[in-house]
This record gives sequence, structure tokens and C-alpha cells, in this order.
Amino acid sequence: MEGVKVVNITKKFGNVVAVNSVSFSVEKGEFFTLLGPSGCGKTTTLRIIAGFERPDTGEVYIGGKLVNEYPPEKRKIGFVFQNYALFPHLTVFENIAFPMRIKRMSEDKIREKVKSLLELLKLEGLENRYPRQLSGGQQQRVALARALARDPEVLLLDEPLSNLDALIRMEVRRELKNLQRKTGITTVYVTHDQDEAFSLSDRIAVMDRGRIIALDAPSNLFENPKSAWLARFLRYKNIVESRVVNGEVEILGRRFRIDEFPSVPRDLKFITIRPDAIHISKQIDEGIIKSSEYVIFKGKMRDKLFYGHFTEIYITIDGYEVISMIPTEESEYYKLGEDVYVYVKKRDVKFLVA
Amino acid sequence: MSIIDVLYRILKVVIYLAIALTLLYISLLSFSPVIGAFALKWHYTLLPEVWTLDNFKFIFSDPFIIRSLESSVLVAFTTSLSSLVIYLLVILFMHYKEQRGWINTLFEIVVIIPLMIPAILLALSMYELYRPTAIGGTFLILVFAHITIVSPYVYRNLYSVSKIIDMKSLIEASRSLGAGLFTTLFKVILPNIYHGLLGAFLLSFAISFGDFEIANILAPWQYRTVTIAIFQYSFKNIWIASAIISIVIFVSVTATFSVAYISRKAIAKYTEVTR
Repeated sequence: MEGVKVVNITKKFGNVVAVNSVSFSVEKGEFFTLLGPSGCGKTTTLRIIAGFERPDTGEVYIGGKLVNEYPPEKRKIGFVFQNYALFPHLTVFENIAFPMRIKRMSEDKIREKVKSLLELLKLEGLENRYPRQLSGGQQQRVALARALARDPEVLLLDEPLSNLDALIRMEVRRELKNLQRKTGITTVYVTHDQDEAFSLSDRIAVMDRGRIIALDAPSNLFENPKSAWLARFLRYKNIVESRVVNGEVEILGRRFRIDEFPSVPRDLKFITIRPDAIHISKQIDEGIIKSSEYVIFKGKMRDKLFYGHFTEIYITIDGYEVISMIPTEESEYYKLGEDVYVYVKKRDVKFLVA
Repeated sequence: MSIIDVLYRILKVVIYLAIALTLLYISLLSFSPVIGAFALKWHYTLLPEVWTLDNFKFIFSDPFIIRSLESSVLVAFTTSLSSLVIYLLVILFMHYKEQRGWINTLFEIVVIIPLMIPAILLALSMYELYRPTAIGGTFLILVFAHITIVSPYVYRNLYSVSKIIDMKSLIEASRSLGAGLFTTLFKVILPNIYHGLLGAFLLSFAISFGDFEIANILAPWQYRTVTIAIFQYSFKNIWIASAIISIVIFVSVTATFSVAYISRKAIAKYTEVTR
């Protein structure tokens, strides 16, 4: 059953098309993420679902009901803002109780529900504090509790972790995922952070310039980026130009038969290989030479960058620069300017059409 | 000590002296009427030759001055309250509805117009515009004119407060939690902007209370304001006029310091919230 359905929505601000014919549906209980760089239209899409913006065209359904004409207060949503938007004049208790007071629930029920939400979000003991007396992580949890207090059909989160520092962000990310699992609430999450999107979501829609350019489960999206833009956005590093010529595919200056690789598109423009899939060695193993699983190149080591447990090795192969990521203790065997063999599994070479 | 150090010290002394003289000049201008308010005789001396409280006693026993004080309070209060309601609704509309940049831009331009037009022109235009209508000849015409001249101050004050508290987010949060316009206004917005409202009210009260140019043209005879009384008494008895001026100064200074204090408290409160 659909929790949220967005059909062909478009939104313009003046001459700028913020959202361009966007459609997707989110299953009930699903954690769905809109991922993209700043200005790609993800927040506008979320605000259209919430009712804060009216689409120029298209339809929005929540729980199977067309809600285009409903103002935000009539839609069964919970919205968590990037800046939390907690009410500064109310205590934590009163912030969470706010939607229940609107519904004119009895005082006993309000107390009971606020107590259960304080427990769920690990906020016990903070109920009498004001938002200014809370840390960023605590404010974020109060904002979540307040959004859930309305018993929404869908929880909408607009970059809720972006104001937190890195360590707290990791902690709250886990808590958020656990909370969503526990409550089973349909969630639409907006972020520009790939790590957040991949670790939290059941499915991700990647947006660019108002359009959805990819929509898939995190693992599929990561394993098979369809375009160079998406690969770059997903922080793929080795994106190099490539082409198909006379039944052969050109990879890093060498040509291979097309049938050696699974599904090479005819309109190929780029290839990409994840740095961790690029292996290096001073001497090539006989087994690898004989194996049809690998393609082998000869290159020269140009640079290395230390990243703690891993080190990036920069290698030039026939004028192309590629990056290999290897464990730091292995990197010590390689010296700048040395010749190295580079070998890659054929299935780790990803072909990109645009 | 090098020549640079000597020059630097001389420059420092000159700057301090200039600041002190400026402050002294402003204080003398502002407060000499206050000293005059206690004078019975003051001709060729630095301070009054004979001191008295009779000027104040006269003020509070003269029906014309009392009525002018009442009129000024009535006009200033009505102006301040009306402009607050008008601009609160404007600001609320801007944040409540979908954001439309052109409305903000339009208001930014419209509200500064009274600062560019001389008050006398504004008063004459309003006189011509409203003379044939029902409000011509009533105190409302003065209130309308004063709402216009206080607009830049009230609008800017409320707009700044709305930005400090991020009114847009608070309104959206309230709506996403199921609250309608009135609940949002009374339970979320007003409790968070009362500092700004009070500041804007006091500022607009002080401006309206101290206006002479517009009141002199537009005020009907039964609503002559305190500044008109000052003007008229300045020809009859300058010390009584000074006593009335000192009341206006007291109102303006109290309002100014209150605005400064309230603004500082509000900014401290909300910067702590948003930190």
C-alpha cells in the first residue's frame, strides 16, 4: 500500500524550474530518501508533499488520498526541519504536547503520550528544559518526538542531521533508523549526504536540476551508477573517457573485445572503477595473467595520500590517472616513480553512457 | 617617545574632545528646555536666576494643555496600536503564505516613502484627500497620517524580529503540527515577538507624540496636540512651553531607552536560542 505518491509534479519560482515532472511512490513503512546537491529540488519536493508549497502541476497523495487542496495542518504529516523550529517559549514537554493540545486531548492522555515519546527518544529528565538549554542532538530528538506526537501517516525530514557535528550525526543516524524500524512509519527524508542516504534508506531517488535521475535501492544505485554525473556524485573517483570502436571497447588506452565484459552499451562515454577495486602489485601473479576474470595494465606510481587505515595511490596508465585504495601497511612497499602492475576484475569496470 | 607616538596621542585627545563637545552640544540642545521648565526668571545667567515648580503646576491645571496632552496620548496610542496590528498582519501574511519575494520588495519600497517625502507635503496631501470624506475633521485623519510616518520604524522593527526568531519556520512547524492561523498567531507567534511588538509600539508612540508638522495642519481644533500647545505657549510664556517640552522629552527618552533595553534583551534571548 502506498504511503505517499507524487505524480508528475512541477514547481517553478519565477523562471526557475525547481521541480520538473517528478513522480515516485513510497510504500507504507518505507524509508525513502531524496538525495541530491544543493538546489536540485529535493527540499521543494518535500515541501510540496507537506503542503508548504503548491505545485504548478501534478498530484500528491498521502495514504491514498489526494491532498493537493489540503493545507499543511489538514495533512497527516510530521515535519522535522533542518533548524528543528522548536518553539523557544515552550519547554520540551510543552513542545511535544503542542499537537495534542491542538487536538484538545485530555491532560492525562497528553501526559501519558509525552512520557512514552520521551522514553522512545531517550529524553527523560529533560521535559522541563527550554530548547535553548539543549544540545543540538537533544533538540533534534525533541523535534522528532514533536513530529511523532501528531500520529502522522508520513514523517517528512528535511536534512535533520546537517546541523550536528560528525560524531553526534553518526549516533543520531543510528537512532533514527532504529526509531523508524520500531514505529514502522512511512518516512521521506531529504539529504545531500550520500552516507546518510545509503545507511538509512530502503530506496533512494537521486535528484539533479529538478528531476529524478536515478531511483533504486542503495546497493543497486551504488553498484551500478548509470551516468558519469551520478558516479561523480556518489564519489566514484576513477571516471575516464571511453568508447566502443569496431566491436572493441577502449579502457585506459587499451582495447578489449566487447564480449569479454557483461553488457557494454554502444553509446558508451565513460568507464569508472572504484578505487578499492583497483589492485596493484610490483610483480604480476601467474594465476592472474591466466585468469579471464581480470584486465591488467602497466603504470607508474605518481603519488600517495594517507587516509589513516587506507592510503590512496595515484598511478598513471598510458596518460590516464587512476586511484587505487589499499591498506596503509601495504602502501609502504610502493615508492614514487616505480612501475606497478594494475589489475581489475572485469565485472568491476562500470560502463557509463552519459 | 617617537614623533609618531606624540602625534597619535594628540590625535586621540582631539577625537575624545570632539566626542565630548558633540555630546555636550546635543545634551544642551535637548535638556536646556528641561532647565527652563523650572525657571521663573532667566535672562543673562548660565542657570535660571529664580527656580520654581509653578510651570508644572500650571500645566496640570490649564484645561487647554491637559486636553492637548490627552489628545496626544489618544492619537499616539491609536496610531501605535493600529500600525502594530496592520504590520503584524502584513508580516504574518508574508510568512504564512507561500514566500513571494516581490511582496517583501514592494513593502521595503512602500514603507520608506514617508522618509523621503517632507512631512508637510504628506500632511497637505492627506488634508486634500480626506477633507471631503467622513474622517476629514476628526482625529482619525491625524491617526492615518501618523500611521504613515511611523510605518518605516514599525515595519522594520517587526520584520527584524520576525527574522531573528525565524518566524517562517515557526509558522510552518505550527501548521505541520495541526495548528490553524489563529492558534499559530496566539500560541506561537505573539509569545515569541512580544519584545518586538513592545519596542515598535514605544517607538511609534514617541514619534506620534512628538510630531508637530503634521498635527499643526491636520489636527481638528478639539484635538490640538501637545506640540501645538508648546508652539502656542512659546509666544505667551516660554517657561511654560519649556515645561510642556520637558514632558515630551521625558516620554521620548523613556520610550527610546525602553526600546534599546527591550531590543537588547530580545536579541540576547534569541541568539541564545539559535546558537
